[in-house]
Amino acid sequence: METTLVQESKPPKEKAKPVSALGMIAVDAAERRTPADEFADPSFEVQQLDFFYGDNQALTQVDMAIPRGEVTALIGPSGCGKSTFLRTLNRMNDLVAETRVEGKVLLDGQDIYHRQVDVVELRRRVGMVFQRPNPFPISIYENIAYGPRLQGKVSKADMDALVERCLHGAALWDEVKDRLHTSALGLSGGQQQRLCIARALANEPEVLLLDEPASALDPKATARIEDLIGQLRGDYTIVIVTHNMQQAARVSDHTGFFYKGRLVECTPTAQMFTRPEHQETEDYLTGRFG
Amino acid sequence: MTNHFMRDIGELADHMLQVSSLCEEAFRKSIDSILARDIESAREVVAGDAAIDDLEVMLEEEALKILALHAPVAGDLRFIVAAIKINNDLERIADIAANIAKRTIDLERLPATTPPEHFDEMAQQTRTMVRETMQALIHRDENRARALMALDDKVDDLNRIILARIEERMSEEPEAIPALMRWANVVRLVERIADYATNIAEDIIYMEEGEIVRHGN
Repeated sequence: METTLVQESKPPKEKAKPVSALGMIAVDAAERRTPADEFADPSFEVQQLDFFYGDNQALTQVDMAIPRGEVTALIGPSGCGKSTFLRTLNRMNDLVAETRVEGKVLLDGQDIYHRQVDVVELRRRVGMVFQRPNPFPISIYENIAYGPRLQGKVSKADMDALVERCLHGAALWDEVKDRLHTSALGLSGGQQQRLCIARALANEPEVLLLDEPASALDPKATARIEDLIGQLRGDYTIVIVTHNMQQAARVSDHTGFFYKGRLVECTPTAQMFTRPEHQETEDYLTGRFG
Repeated sequence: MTNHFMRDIGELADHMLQVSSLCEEAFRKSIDSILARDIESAREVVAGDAAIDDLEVMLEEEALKILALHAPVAGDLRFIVAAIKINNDLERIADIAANIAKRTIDLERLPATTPPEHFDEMAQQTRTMVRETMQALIHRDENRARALMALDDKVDDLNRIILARIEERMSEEPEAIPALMRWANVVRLVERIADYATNIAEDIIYMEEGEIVRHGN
C-alpha cells in the first residue's frame, strides 16, 4: 500500500518498515522487483511534461519512467533542463515565481501536481540533496532530528536510535559518533554532504533527488558519495543530476540525456556509454557538441 | 572533445593504417616469394616482421594511454577497443606472413615441387580479403567489411580441397612428401590469414555500429 499525496483521501497509515542492522530501511524480499517489474511499476511516470519560467519554455514534452529502487542519472549541457526536471519531481519549482507546469508527474500512480496534494508530505517522500552541502548551523545530532521532530512522530527515546541509523545509512556514523553534539559546520565538505543525505533519510523518503551532490567535493569525498549511492540503491529510488559523465557511468543503472529541454533518450547506462541511440547523444558524450 | 584527444586518436588511427599497410605488403610478398621461389624476397619478409612487432607494441601503448587519460565513451570507446583488437590481429597476420616466408626458405633446400592445385586461387582470394579489410578499415566502411566476410567461406572450401589433393599427391609422389608437408602447412597458414581478416571485419562492424557479430551473432 502506498502513502497517498492527496490529503482528503489519505488511507490508513502504512506500518513502518523494519530497519536493518545497517540502519537502512529494509525492503521485504517480496517487495523487491526484477528489472522488468521495475519498468512495469516505476516509481515515477512523467507524461508529456512541459515546464515554463514565465514565457520561457524549459522542458518540452518529456516522457520518462523512473524505475523503482534503481539509480537514474540525468546528464546534458548547462541549461538543458535536467535540474529543472529534477525539481519537478518534488515540486521544488513551486518556490520559483511565475512558473507553470503542464502534463503529468505520477508518483506511484498519483499525480503530484493534483491541487489536493500535500506538498510537505510529497517532499517527505521525495527527499532532495543539493549541489552545495547546506547543513543547519546546529549540532550534527539536531540536523538529523530536526525533520522527524517537526513531524512529531518520533519519541525522545527513539530519537537516538533514529539519528544513529540515519548516520549509518549515510556512511557517516563512524566519523562523527564521538562528536554528535558539536556543530555540523565543523565537518568537512564531504562529511557535510553525507550529513545532508542522512538528514534526508531521517524523513524515511522513498525517493532521493541528488542535484550534482559531489560537484563541490574533492575526489576522495566524491568517491565516498558514489559509494553511498551504491549502498542506498535498492532501498531508495535515486535520481541524480550530474555534469560528470564518468560519475553517471559509474553510479547509475539508467541514464537520461537532456538537450534543449527535451529528453533525447533514456537507456540503460552501459548501453548509453557504449552505443547511444541518437547522434545528439553520441556528439555530447564524445564532446563533439555544437 | 579536446584538441589533445583529437590529436591522440588521430595519431592512433594513422599508426594503425601504417601497420595495416605493412601487414598487407608482407602477406603479398610472402605469397609472391613462395610461388616464385624467391629466397631474397622471403628473407626480407622475415626480417621485416620485427618492425611490425615494434609498431604493434607502440600502437597498443598509445591506445592504453588514450583509455587512461581521456576515458572515451560511445563511438570513441568502440574505436579504441576495436583498434586494440585489430592491432593484435594485424600483428598475427604479419607473423603468419613471416612463417610462409620461412617455408619458402625451407622449400628451396628440397627438390622442386609444383605448388598444389588451386593454391594460387586460394592465395588470390585471401589477398583480396586482406586488401578489402584494409580498405574497410581506412574508410571505416562496415558494409565493405560485411561483404568481405562472405569470401571466407570460399577460402575454407579451397583449403579443404587443396589439403585433400595434397594427401593424394603424397601417395602418388612419395619423394615429394617433405615438400608437400611444407605446402600443407602454408595452405593452413593462408587459411588462418583469411580468418584474421574476417576477425578484423567483425571489429570494424563493431566499431561503426556497436554490434558484436562474432560467433554468428
